[in-house]
Amino acid sequence: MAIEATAGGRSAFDQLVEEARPKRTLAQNLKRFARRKPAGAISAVVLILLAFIALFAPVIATHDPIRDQVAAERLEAPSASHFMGTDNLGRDVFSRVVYGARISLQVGFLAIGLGTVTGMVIGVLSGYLGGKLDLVVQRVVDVLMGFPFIILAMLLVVALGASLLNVGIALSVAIVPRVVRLSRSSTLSVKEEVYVLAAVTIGVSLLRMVLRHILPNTLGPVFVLATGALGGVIVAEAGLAFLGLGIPPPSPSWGGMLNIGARGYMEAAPWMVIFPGVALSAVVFTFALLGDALRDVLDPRLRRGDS
Amino acid sequence: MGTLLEVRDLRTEFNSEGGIVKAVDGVSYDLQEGETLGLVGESGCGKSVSALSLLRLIPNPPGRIVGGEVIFEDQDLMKLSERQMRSIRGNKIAMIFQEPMTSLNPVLTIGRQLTETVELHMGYSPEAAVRRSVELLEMVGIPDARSRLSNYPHQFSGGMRQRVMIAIALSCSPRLLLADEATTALDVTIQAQILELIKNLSTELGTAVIIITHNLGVVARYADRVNVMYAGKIIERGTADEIYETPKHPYTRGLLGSVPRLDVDREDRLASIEGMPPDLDRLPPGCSFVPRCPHADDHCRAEMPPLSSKDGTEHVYACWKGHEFGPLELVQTKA
Amino acid sequence: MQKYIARRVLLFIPTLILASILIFGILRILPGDVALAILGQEAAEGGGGYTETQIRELRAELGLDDPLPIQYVKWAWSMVNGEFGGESIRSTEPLSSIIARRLPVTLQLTVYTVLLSIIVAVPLGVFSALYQDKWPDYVLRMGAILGQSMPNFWIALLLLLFMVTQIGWSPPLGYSNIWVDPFHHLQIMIWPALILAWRFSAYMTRITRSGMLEVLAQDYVRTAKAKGLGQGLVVRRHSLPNVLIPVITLGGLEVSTLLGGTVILENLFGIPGLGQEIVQASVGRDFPVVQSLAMMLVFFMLGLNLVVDIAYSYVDPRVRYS
Repeated sequence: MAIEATAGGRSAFDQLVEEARPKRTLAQNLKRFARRKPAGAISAVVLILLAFIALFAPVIATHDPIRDQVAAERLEAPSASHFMGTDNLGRDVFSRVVYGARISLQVGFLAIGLGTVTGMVIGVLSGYLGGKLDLVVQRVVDVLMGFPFIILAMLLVVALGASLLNVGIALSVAIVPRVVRLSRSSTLSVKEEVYVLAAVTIGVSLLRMVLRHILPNTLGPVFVLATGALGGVIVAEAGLAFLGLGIPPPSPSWGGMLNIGARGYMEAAPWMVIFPGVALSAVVFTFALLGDALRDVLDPRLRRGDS
Repeated sequence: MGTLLEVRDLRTEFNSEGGIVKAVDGVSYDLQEGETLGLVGESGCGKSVSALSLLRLIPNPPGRIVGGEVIFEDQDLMKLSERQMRSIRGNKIAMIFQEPMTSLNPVLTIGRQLTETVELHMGYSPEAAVRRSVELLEMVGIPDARSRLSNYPHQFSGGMRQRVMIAIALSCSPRLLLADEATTALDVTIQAQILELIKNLSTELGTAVIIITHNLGVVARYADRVNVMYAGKIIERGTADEIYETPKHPYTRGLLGSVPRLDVDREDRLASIEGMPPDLDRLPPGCSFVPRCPHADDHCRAEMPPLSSKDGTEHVYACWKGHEFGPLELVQTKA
Repeated sequence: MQKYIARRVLLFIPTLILASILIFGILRILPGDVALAILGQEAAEGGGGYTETQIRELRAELGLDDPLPIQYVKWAWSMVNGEFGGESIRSTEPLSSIIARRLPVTLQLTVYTVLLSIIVAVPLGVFSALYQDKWPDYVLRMGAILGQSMPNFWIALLLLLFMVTQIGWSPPLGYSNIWVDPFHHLQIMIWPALILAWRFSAYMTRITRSGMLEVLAQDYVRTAKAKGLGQGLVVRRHSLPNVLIPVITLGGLEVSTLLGGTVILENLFGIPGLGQEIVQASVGRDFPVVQSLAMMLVFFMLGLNLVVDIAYSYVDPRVRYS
């Protein structure tokens, strides 16, 4: 009976709380989130807008970001035909910023997706199986956490070669240690729960155990970590591109645009530096806000005195 | 002996998610010099908040003292400036807290935590403060006092830490000592030692003591008079004997029923009060105890009874039916 | 406590070895041939081709003919005996001289940033906590969020843009050692240090604030207030030491992010530190330099973590006496 009642992965107490709480529809839940975390809600809206821009970049952009090079229109100030001016090759900065959102999000989601999945597999297995494997994983994670994030990503890009896919992979590797550490520790705490012990005693298989009981419990914190890290990954991508180690030109990466702008065009065409930077900062800022709000809502355990 | 402390209609509120909580709701009592007073009630009844209010140590926000007077040595503490108040805290009124494990600062030596009070209030030089601290530690029964001054709290056991807390509290020979659940976190044998220590030292120094506890057994043994609190109000007051033998409020009667007693048949001696302590932000209009009271009627539901007695004695209670209750039957029926 | 420190120091050695294996391994995951990659890039840049002989010569020069474990041991040993992995492919300058020249610059920049941040962040964090949820707290928190979300290279670009267009001044070109020309040195170093410190102090302010809030709610702070201590003593004597323990630990870990920022800003401001060299080497596929400098940066970071661990044991009596 006890096992049956808790087989859903929740304690009896959780169920009581669940029953006491009025049932809400998705819309009501969203409304509640918006009222309690206005900053989080606003940032969610901004990010949906951003995804929309990235998705419909060809429709929104007024020019082709790479091919429309008009020598006569080089370094033109913002105007009705070029909202954000033109760059040193006569390309439309607005269109490049719009397409840049695409690159940032592609790299961001690629890195986060790859990094969290890999990290969770390693972390959950390491935490669940324990023993020598866990020991080795722990040491490697400790050491990798000591690597400055951008240095680790740089090493990987140097080794793999620069391309959108490779930058994504490099950044994913850089976040793996964090995900491993987090999913391992939540695995360890779930492992000691009575309902998991009970399931072990009645001989539930390992795979089932991990899928049914442990994974669901680690998803929340990992999701919070991933949202918070997304901003960091996007900055790192821009940083690599800024250093000339990211997605190679002529791709309109925001970091790459800043790199070109900083090479002698700053005085003549400040818009080449200002607009990509504004876009980048706004995205990072909103991800940080959203991460904060999600952390409060989804994972009270991570909550600290700050907000 | 004169009156040392007079509390008049003290009110302290807290802002919470559910609204304003009246943690202390019009509490009045007085205390004679050298007297030991018990303040008893379940956790959450406002007894600790009322003690912290005396020292004006309510964390603000979310808490706030909204009214009342606390006359201590002929001045109203509520009207003093923060600076004047500081010269009273730890000096004339000292406090011992419940958690000996966390009430001492983990990164400062015991010596530092002892000497700072006498340096601050009595203007002792560092050397004199150290001498005084050794004296105090010996007084509370800590062996090898001088060498222990350089120890840190984690090197002491719980009982020893509470002795240190007592030494700190008594370092300036206060007129009033507030002991807030001072022994609750300790083992039973240590509890008795600590209470004896407080009792002996306060007698020696002529210090008045307010013992704040949920344990009526403690109060019966050490207090001269007892105030029983429920839902932010005092609901019964009398001498320890009166409260213990002829409790008039059904709540006090319930509390006494739930104290293990050696003089009652083992089979029957534990009763309990039905229900839970009330939410202080959702109190009923009449007597707060109505939802848990087996004797409640419409009068009780409509009007809060005043703290008084039918025959004009000092044993007062806030219950319309209090006078109907005789001495507590020591042998109780099974609930 | 000696035991604690000894254990930490002993653990440091396998950690370093593991780190070096990781760096070595990462740079060898490229499926192709390092020599080919280098020559391919040179060829692409120079517009010419390369011959079989060139490949063979470069392979021999880089020691690529040895089996991987031998390559690793040779490199690791050179890190210990002071050769630091030989020399640069591009400039043929020995790595030992590159490191001797550039490491102090990066160290200086890091120290300036950390000092600036601590001076600013600790008082601001305390202040922010004491005024929790009142307007000074909000202003400081906004500033902190901005500092943490604007990429430092963009802030740097804006700053340079502002200085050039609005005041007509920009940091002087070239770099001077602090012992040679301190004024010139500071004119160059102060800007990246300030920008890095904004972010770093934003983080430090945040953890000081939350640590302070946590400590102010502790029972022992209530005890201190009940003793009649004023706010000054309550903060200085009873709260700050307890706050500094987490601040030191978390601050030490965050230096890793700071180092990343140093790498970028050294390039932007033309400061000849390790970061500038490692980026130039990465762009130029100068594998020996990338490998050894990455190891130096990681060594620096891990060494700092060790120092923080030891410092921690001095601050916290619970560790000191265990």
